[in-house]
Amino acid sequence: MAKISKIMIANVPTLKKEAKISDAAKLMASKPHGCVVIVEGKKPIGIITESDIVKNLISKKTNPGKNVTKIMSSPVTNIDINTKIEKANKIIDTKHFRRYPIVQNENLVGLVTENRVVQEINDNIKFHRNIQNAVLILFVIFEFAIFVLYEYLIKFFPFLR
Amino acid sequence: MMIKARAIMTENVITINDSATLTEASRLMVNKHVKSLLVMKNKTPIAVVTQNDLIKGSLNKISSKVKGVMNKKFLVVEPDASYAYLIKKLKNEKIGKFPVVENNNLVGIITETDLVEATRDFTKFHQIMQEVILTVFGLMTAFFLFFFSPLGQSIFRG
Repeated sequence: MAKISKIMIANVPTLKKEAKISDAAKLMASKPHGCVVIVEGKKPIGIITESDIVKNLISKKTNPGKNVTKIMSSPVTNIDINTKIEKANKIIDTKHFRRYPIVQNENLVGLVTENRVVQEINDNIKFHRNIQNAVLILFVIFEFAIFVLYEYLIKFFPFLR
Repeated sequence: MMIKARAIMTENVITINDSATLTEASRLMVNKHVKSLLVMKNKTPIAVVTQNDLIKGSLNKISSKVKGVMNKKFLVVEPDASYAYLIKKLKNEKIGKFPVVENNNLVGIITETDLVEATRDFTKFHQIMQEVILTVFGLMTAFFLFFFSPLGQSIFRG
């Protein structure tokens, strides 16, 4: 099974934890990722999604000049870059988030979404199942042929008796 | 296995009028816990508005109405549309919103989230099928070997 690095999105939009909420909104509007990862150095410490920004748009408590740490989700569930895709799926199944930062030695290197992992696993399984079925059908035909032709076979190959 | 749109759609569609303001749209989204709204005009879906559109709209001050920020990245489908067709559209054309229309009535919507859920179920189905096939095959092979073994020979053919 392939590793998570095969399906991760590189070049994730990031912001330092000192950034303002308005910076996060601007960055998000210019990128299609739907989220911004908040980093301290290179270590991901939180994540802001579009939902957080939309919530912030209508709430009166936090204005856009405030720090991003006020609205970010923290701590985040990181996935190591060497994790196998099956393992990542198990993590996603228990956490139920949509987006997971990918880390290498605690440094942010990418991002993976639930959708990508699920689709990749489905593709793999379909492929494996098709091959397996083809092999099985061949074997079953072979076995069946021997059952049916048993009487004829022992005439020509007496050692089968 | 054929999964139809009807089986995976969300029946409770959150819609909005195209003359609504961005604040109304944001409030509706937050209250209903959805990531996009379907924009309706005369009972027909004309566009979708996503969280990203709202953020862009409120930043750039293009328009204070939903009409000014909505996008056309959606595809109307019939309840009989297949899962494979939807997945193909999602992957190739990056369309993630499929309003389901039957006899000119909106009956539901399929979003990326519904498709991910369906794919998860689909994967489980594949895994179970695989195990069933392996089991049947294993039993057949065991019987085959037994049939030709000396013990099997004395039982089956005297």
